[in-house]
Amino acid sequence: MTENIPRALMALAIACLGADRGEWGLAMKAEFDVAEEDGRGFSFAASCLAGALRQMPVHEEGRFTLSSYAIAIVIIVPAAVQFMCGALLGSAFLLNDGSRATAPALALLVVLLTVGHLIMAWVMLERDWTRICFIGRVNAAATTTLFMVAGIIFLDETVMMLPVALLMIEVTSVLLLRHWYGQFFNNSRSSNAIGRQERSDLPNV
Amino acid sequence: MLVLLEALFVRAQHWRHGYDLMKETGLLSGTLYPLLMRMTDQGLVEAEWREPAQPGRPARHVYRLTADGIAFALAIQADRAPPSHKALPA
Repeated sequence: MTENIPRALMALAIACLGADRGEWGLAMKAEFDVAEEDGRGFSFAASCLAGALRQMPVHEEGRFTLSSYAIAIVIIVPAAVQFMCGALLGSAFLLNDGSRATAPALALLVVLLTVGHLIMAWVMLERDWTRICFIGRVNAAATTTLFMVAGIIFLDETVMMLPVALLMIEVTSVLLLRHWYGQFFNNSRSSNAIGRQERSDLPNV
Repeated sequence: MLVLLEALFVRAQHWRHGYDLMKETGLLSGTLYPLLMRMTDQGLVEAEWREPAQPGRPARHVYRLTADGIAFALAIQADRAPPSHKALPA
């Protein structure tokens, strides 16, 4: 168990270095094996991870990853929390005797939105753009339904302003991220093709 | 960077492993590798893969100064050397 921790730290460090520095990751991994035999595996791996994290803002893939996490943590997860709080605290006070019967359906819709946003954050970090589009459509449909229902039963659509604004910010952020990913992926694909050509004489590692 | 440059310059013709450089310079791996990456990008250091000494082990990266790296190390050394006093005329 304890020997797995340095290896996990090392794997994380290599992942943080990005594809462009993949060769350096392999070099560090080979030295890690030597350090591990020397009884210094943990300090070696922890220091590599710290160094790789410091390097992240320097390279584009690192900046992209940090931006993805920032969008997930600062925008999408708070949006999910806001929906959850709305489901638990807010909507019950907005309903009157006439509209109370819609509470279970509304709660279900809000729970769907909460889960949808959390899944959205997860798949965005996995860069699974097909699933992001699907979940984005589901979230947009659920928000629109909620907006329409709110218009019918609450007669005060201002309560829906925050969810709609959050959805718009979220969609814009994800679209910008997707655009950036497309540019970055095209650039790295062409530079990797050149790199493969240059590294073809290296021994297998 | 100067510590690493000095360590590489001492045996400029020899290829050195990262772990050996770490032990010699006292730098942590998280400091050493970003420095090596930057120095390689700047053309001061060259890196090569070497077959492992023992079978079944992964290939290891080795490093040494390039001609530019040696010139840079010499320039640094000249800058750091105390100014020589000219002999006064008798």
